Amino acid sequence: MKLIFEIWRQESPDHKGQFKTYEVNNLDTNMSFLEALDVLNEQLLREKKEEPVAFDYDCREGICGMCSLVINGEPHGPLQGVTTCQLHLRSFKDSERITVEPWRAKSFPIVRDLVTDRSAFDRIISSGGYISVNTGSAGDANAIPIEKAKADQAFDVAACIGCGACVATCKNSSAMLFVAAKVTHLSALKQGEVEKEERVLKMMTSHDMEGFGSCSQTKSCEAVCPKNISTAAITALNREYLRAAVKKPQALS
Amino acid sequence: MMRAVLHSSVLLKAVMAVSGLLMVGFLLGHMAGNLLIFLGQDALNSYAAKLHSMPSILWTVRIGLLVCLLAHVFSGIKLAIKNRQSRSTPYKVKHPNASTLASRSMAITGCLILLYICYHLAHFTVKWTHPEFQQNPGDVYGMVVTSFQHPLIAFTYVLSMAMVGAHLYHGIKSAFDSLGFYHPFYSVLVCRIAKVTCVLLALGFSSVPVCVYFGLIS
Ligand code: HEM
Ligand code: FES
Repeated sequence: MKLIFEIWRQESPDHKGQFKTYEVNNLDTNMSFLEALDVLNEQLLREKKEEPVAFDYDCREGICGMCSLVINGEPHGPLQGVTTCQLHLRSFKDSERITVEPWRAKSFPIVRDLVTDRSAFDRIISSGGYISVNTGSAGDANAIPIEKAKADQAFDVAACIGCGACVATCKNSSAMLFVAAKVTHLSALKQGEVEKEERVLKMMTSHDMEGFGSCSQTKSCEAVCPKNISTAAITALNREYLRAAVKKPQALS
Repeated sequence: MMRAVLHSSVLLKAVMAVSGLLMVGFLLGHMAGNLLIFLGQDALNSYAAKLHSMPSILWTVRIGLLVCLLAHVFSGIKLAIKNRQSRSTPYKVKHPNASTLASRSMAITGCLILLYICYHLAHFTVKWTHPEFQQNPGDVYGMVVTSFQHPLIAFTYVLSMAMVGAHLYHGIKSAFDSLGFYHPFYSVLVCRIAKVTCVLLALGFSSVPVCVYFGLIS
């Protein structure tokens, strides 16, 4: 199988980037998209003319949220509900031209080529995306009974791996789906209930301060999310936020 | 509190949603009034006369609408600026990723509606564009018919109502989302009612200029 890649190359945050075209032959349809880029990089190393293409990955099995490529305009490519590392070349045609771009958002500055700095997400989490418990050995798994429906509801949003595809596709570069997943996951459970109001206000303040835009409900985040997180979580976030703003207006600043 | 609203995207969206929905409520009433034209000259003119005989109610509604419009436009502009600042380099390959054209064009349709509102007030309320209407202020029917026999005016109104339709096609459902309304059954119902309302508004308002222009009302 042969593919033609049109890839965004950018040496450093301060350099101007540009697209470069590469032809890669002898690919196997069972390869993952990242493996195809590995083949391209081996080719570039052999030719010794250009630096290999920098791209993020870690687990390569769809759980870490590091891989982050916009493939032909779609974050994580054309397949619904998978990450870039779980996308295979059988989703493409032989000799297809594939444009590969990095996540684009002011709050995700480009480090190099296709690698972006997503530490803004870590700062949002540290602003309130936690529960306060005493450290020590883990408590007994069933010590706190949680109804099945609640557990399922929390688990659906807990599936968020924080990859940032929602930001990448949003016309406002909003991270509301990410924040919504974290907020609704924690507040659905007994352990997270105590800090419910403070959490939602703090995390949204951090979201806005990090420079992410607001939600226009276009629902494109839900369409590209590799974990199929529904925008119903954003509606729930809005509800929780408005309720918290009324109950604890002093916590707003 | 004011400062918190200015700096919170969720609160600004809540302001947009509440002001937007109040304006939708007004539009429904406004359309019902307009449709009286199909019952004849007397029906419309006596309805207009009745409204003008209650200046306190008339002015409460007018001021309420102005406050809604200002709040809506102000937060719309503030959000739109922030949203544009959040974006970096545009993608080379543009993909809608399930978003609708209406949802992506809210700021554009909103601005066109604002232009239309200015023209509409200058036309029928203050009568700057047609000073001759001042001579017979009670004859709303005559004013409407004379205006819409002009193809350009009729066309402008129909086009503007298409903009309102597009804005509300996304806006009504979005407003419920912004206010955190979710229910497994009623949310679906709200979504349906929202679509029906926006089609009704666009068709209902447009029917007047269309019927006048084609001579069905004269
Ligand atoms: C009288 C006419 C108008 C009505 C009935 C109306 C109604 C609405 C409604 C219901 C929403 C949804 C709010 C939400 O998403 O929470 C909305 C959104 C919006 N409106 Fe209007 N609107 C009107 C005029 C305008 C004008 C004149 C502008 C111009 C600046 C405007 C700009 C916007 C924008 C930009 C949004 C989307 C906000 C976002 O997605 O972040 N609207 N409108
Ligand atoms: S590399 Fe871990 S999710 Fe793709």
